[in-house]
Amino acid sequence: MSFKLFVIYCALIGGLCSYFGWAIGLFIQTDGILRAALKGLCVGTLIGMGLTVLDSIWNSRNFITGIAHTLTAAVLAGFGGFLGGIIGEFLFNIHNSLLILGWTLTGILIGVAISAFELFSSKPNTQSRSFALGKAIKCMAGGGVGGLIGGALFFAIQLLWVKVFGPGIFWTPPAIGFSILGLAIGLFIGLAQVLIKEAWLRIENGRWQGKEIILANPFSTIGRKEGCEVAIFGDRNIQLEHACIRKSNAGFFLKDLNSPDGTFLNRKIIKEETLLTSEDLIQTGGTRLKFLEKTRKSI
Amino acid sequence: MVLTCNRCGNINPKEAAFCFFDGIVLQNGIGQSVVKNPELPFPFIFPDGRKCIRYDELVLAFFDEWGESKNLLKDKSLSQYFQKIGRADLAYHAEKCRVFPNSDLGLDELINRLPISISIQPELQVETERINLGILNPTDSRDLYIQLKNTGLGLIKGNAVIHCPDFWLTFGDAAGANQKALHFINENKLHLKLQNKRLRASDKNLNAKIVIDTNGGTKEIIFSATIPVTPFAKGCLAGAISPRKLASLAKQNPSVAALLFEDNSVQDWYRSNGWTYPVPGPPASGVAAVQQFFEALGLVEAPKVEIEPKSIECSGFPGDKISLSFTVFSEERKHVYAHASSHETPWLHCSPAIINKNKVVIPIDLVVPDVSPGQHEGRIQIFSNGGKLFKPRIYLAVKGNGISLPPPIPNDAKGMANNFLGTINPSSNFPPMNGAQAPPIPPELDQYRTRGIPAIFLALLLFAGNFVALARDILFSHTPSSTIANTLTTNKPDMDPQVTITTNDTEVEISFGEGLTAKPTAGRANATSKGTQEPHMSFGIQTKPTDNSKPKLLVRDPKGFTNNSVLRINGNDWFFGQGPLKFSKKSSPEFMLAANKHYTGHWLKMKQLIADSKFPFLGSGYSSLWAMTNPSVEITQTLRIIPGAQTNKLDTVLVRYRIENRGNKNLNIGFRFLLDTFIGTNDAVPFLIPGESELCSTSLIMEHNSVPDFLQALENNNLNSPGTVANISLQNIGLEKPDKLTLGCWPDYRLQDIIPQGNKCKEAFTLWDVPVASISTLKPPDSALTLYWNPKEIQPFKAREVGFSYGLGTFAGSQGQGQLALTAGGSFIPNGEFTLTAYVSGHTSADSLDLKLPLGFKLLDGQEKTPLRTSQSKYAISWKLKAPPSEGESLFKIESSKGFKEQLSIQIKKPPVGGIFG
Repeated sequence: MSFKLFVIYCALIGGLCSYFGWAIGLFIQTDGILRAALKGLCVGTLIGMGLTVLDSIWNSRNFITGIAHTLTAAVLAGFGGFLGGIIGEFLFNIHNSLLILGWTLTGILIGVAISAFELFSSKPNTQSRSFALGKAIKCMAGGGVGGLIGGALFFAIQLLWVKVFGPGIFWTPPAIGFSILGLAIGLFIGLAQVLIKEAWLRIENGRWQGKEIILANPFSTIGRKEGCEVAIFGDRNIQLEHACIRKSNAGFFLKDLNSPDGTFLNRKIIKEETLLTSEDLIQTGGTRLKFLEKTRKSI
Repeated sequence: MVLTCNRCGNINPKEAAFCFFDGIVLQNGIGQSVVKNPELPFPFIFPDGRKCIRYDELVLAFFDEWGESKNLLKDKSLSQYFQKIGRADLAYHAEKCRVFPNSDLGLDELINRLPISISIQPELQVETERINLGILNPTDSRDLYIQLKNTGLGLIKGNAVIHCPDFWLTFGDAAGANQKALHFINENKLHLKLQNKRLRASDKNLNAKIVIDTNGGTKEIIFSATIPVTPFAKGCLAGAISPRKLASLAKQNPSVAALLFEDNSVQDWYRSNGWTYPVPGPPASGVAAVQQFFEALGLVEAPKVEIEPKSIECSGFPGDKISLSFTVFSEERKHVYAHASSHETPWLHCSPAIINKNKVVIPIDLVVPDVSPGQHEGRIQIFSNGGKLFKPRIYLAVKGNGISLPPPIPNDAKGMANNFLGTINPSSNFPPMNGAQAPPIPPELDQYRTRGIPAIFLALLLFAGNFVALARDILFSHTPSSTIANTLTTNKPDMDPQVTITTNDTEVEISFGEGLTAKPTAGRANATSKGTQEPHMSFGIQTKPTDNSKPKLLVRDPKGFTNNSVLRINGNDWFFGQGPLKFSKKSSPEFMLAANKHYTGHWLKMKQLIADSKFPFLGSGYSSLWAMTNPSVEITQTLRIIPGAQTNKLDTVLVRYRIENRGNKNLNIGFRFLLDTFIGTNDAVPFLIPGESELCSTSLIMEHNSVPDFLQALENNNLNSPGTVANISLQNIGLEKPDKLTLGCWPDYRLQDIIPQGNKCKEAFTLWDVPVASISTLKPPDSALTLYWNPKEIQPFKAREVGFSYGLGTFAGSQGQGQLALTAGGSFIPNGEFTLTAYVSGHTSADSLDLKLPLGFKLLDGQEKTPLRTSQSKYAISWKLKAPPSEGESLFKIESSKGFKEQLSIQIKKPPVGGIFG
């Protein structure tokens, strides 16, 4: 999956999850603030779950980590939605026009909650912390923008519908509003990961041709073992743990992990840890990966 | 006795003068001899006027005018001539020669058949019999012409053959031919060509010979030429004038010489001398190139080479690019070279070989073709040392196809190892290439993949979801839920309905008395004729008591038979819901026409159940669709139980009519509803009209702006115990407010002789105009309410929606001790307008009534301190109020100067929008 496709998937999955969250919320029988809070909970939970599953697939997390990450994000995002619903309904009860603010706050809370797992699990003063922080900011922005647009659309369509059909409970305004909310959160979460990236690998051939993998961790293992940061399933010439890329202040280093067939860098086998430069071609087994790096100010 | 021809030997009958086969004069028994050159019976004249009187002259003329003679042969002139002169044999031959493929040979054959005395003998001559072409270049390509002449008489026929060992000289008009047939009458040019591709440099002369063998003699022409060898001019091989010399030089310095082989200098040198380079395929790299050359010259023995793997199995989806490789190697310490060709299999692409001493890797790029899934076989050809040819096979399992490519989701743990895409499974164990160079970088990524499809699917799913929401709103929001009275509340009401709807859904039998006086069968008229109609779908409303008491009717007839609805379309009145009558007995057409004058249409849908709704909180109801064909109008009657404005209980019925013009012309459509009001057992309930000081117990007509938003009726004329309070709301969101309202007596037939225009009073069969008379005109009194929505122009496929709500109202009278009571009606939404009405009894003009207005409410009409008056009956005082912009519950209190008090709680609520998230 290319970055572009990943961002598109993020947006669509976010939109769909948000929509289904709203659809589930139709069954809620309570009224008032609790009703809004439960609806926010449904939407937040589904958005958090959907986007984290996609993120886990893209980053090839192992099953247990993926489940843990997904559940945590779902719970946190659900809580964010719940809280957003309470605050939003409270604002709405003060004045109708505060509805948009309520939506915006709900979006922000859901967005922040999705990225909270990475934020809290990263060590302070590390690159991963800054990565998580950047992601959280963008998620928050996505939630805010989504909430703003979604809320505005909800409000506008609701007014229009009341004018056309008279007062009532309509599906279209919240359906569109929540779809936009989820789309925006997903879009920004996708963009967050893509824009923050420092270096990445692009698979050049084989089944995963075109897939791009961000090198976000200090050590990224290339192999076909589940849980490898650069997991290349299906190429039996690749060892379970074939090679690794180490990230240091000096740059990214490629090292062969004693694989029988070796690891090639620009068509030559490497025997020791080698510094990578952008556009380098790595070959492990039958799969070629292009190392791509943002321009570094200093090495 | 027979005669035998001395010339051809054929047998002719004894009477024959000439041989049938060759025309020769036969020597019969009389002793006649062959006569040559006889005189023609009459002269043959050529088109140019040349006259021939003998055969010899004729033949000579043929040779002189060869072309014209061929034409004469072709156009049958000759055969006809011979026929005329009685020489059927010659005519036969002429005809036979005429169809010869070659007209020259045809005419020559005919000439040979003629009895002539002159001798015909052609003679071939050539210009020169030895030609020296001089020094040639292997790149030369030249055309040569040799002139041939016939110095004798007759057609020269024969062939020419080139004797040239290397075929460097050929006939020009047939590429590569060295033999050619020829014939000509006078002269001919023989076209020859020097074949440059076959010219070989040599230190010896090139020789060739042409032998021309004809009936005019045989000639030989000798050709000779010289092509000197161009010496090799580069590097350590400079000066070599033969391949063997070049090999000996290369052997002395193979590594340097190898460069000249690699850059094709040697191959170019071969070509410049016209020699065939002995090495097939591309040159090897390094010293292997020298080895390759030596092997080709047969100077060294080729090593024994093998290939690994013998075959490869792989699999992939269409568009996948798979990199494979074969290795050619030798156990001997000799250089191995190889090159591959994949022209037999288009989905295989061979890259240049990578040579490493005695091992050569040949990379193969496989692009999985977009073909049907299954097993496919490909083959490449690998040429190696000593002309060894390998043909390894590649078995490709195509999975799926490009369109149905699944999303790139990792396989689970159990499946990933065994069955995945793009896997390479060499059928033999080739040793790993530690230390070797990796295969070359593949070309740019192919764009065959269609990974966008799942994304499009997701987008469509999201779009469809929103579309469902939109469709739901459009389909269901024009039902009563959208046009519920503005009293709808978001609070969950008591969902047990307080009223019930009963409809008339069986056939109706109508009796006709004198003068078309129609009555239901149960009526009082003496029927002279009876007809049946479709169910009227008229309706009745009654309370649904929670205790064991009897339900109370809110209209006179339980099924609403005493109500009626009339449409006025372009000035004509039509009963709504009442179709044409069918008479069981035979009636006159005039009668049936008159009886059905105002009946048209039929029910397309009857009593379709509308389920109750939890949010918004709505009760169940019924929908029926009435269709009229001429004029083409459809009316949907919808009845639904909704929550009351202030009671927050399902105690009100919203009555709605959607009238749609289904024709193609504008129609003026009006609607009138006659409601036979009734509460419990009281058929003459008085009405409370907001703004009116007195209760209406006689008659009233209100039009346009004076039409109130609501009316109320009390079951008992007792403020302490008013009984059931009926509320009729005329202002409903989404529905037009009536243009006219009349209160008065129900249009009983008995009024016909009592009131003006009484003839229009026909009870349930009253047309548009309902005459207005006092409620108490008849005994017992009978009240009715008539609502008019005046005709309005409706465009084709446009509709108007009219209706009202009728149900139970609120009434606060418990504290007023029968002297004061308080009620309200109108719009109870933020900024909504409503009317607060106080019932007053037992006060005098000295008294006054104070209204305590809660905070935020604005008094639009009326005074906070209102002077009272002396009255024997109850009367009403109304205040028009505007609600504040915020929601909340407010207590309205009234207090008279006599100390009587009453209070009413009113809740202002927003229309339902379902909170922040809908």
